[in-house]
Amino acid sequence: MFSTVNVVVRKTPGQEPAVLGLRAAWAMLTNGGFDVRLLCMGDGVFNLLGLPGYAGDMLRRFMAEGGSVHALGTSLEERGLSPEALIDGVEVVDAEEAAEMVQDAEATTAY
Amino acid sequence: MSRTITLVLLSGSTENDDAVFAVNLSKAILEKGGKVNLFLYGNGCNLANKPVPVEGRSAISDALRAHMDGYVLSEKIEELTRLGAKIATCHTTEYSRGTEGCPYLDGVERGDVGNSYTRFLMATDVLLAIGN
Amino acid sequence: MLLLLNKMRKEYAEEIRVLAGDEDKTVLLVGDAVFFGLPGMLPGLEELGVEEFYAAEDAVQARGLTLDPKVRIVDYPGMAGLILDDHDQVVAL
Repeated sequence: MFSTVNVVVRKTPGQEPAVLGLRAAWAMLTNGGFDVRLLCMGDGVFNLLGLPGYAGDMLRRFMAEGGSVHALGTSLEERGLSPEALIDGVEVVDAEEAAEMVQDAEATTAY
Repeated sequence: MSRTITLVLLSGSTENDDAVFAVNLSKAILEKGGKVNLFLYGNGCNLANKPVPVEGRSAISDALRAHMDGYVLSEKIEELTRLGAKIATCHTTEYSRGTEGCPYLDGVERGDVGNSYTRFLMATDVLLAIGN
Repeated sequence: MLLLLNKMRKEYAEEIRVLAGDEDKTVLLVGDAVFFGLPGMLPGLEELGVEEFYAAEDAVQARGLTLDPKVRIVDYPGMAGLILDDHDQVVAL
């Protein structure tokens, strides 16, 4: 039985897998009672700039319900994004911290 | 082997090898005594429905038909449910594709990420999301 | 850790480096990812610390490939065992 699950979002907001990952993270947190960590890396960091509409609302509600949201620092740097450009509550992590997230979770799914 | 896998399939038929892989892997796991949950999400939801063939034979060359037949999975999916796999769709992804009301393959359940998917996770040993 | 790769994505290098960290790494190549098992491609995975390589038999045959000898060709029952029994962590990328 899982207790901790990572959802890694790698795709831009316009690609369906990004929203599917957000929805899965939300469902696991609120319906499954899992500890869910959302990690955005690669182009997935573009989901953290304050999206209008459903996806942005979903992300804000996810955090309000206790889900943690993380951004890979190098992905931000490569895209010229500063941590200040992200929505409030996002934790910027380095590669070592991201690997630790994977190691101490029972499952890591990538969207 | 009595472990359980939940596969989240994001790819539909033919767009790549993911659906074929997921279905064949599921069968292998079931035949070895494992348990399979298959959640058809995103484009994966287009695998859920009963096929609607044209009347007569469509104008596809034999060679191309043989190639495309490798991606026709409806019978294999029904076989999985007979072998004990639990298969559910995300009806929301069906909605946006206009297939929410289309008949399902035998054994496939209309579902959602909030209930079906999380129910699958309650007794899962391995969770994989497979897709683009 | 078993990493399941199914595409030819250039992002895999970063994803493996970041998500797998210092873990012992085994890759299972399926679908188009079997091209990573070609002799000219495998060093890229080795540089990421991958030590064991498997490739799906059906994908290799469908593409008419001869992979590096370090890659073990595996059928579906074999893949089932790899995924369900042999590794504590399995991540599909």
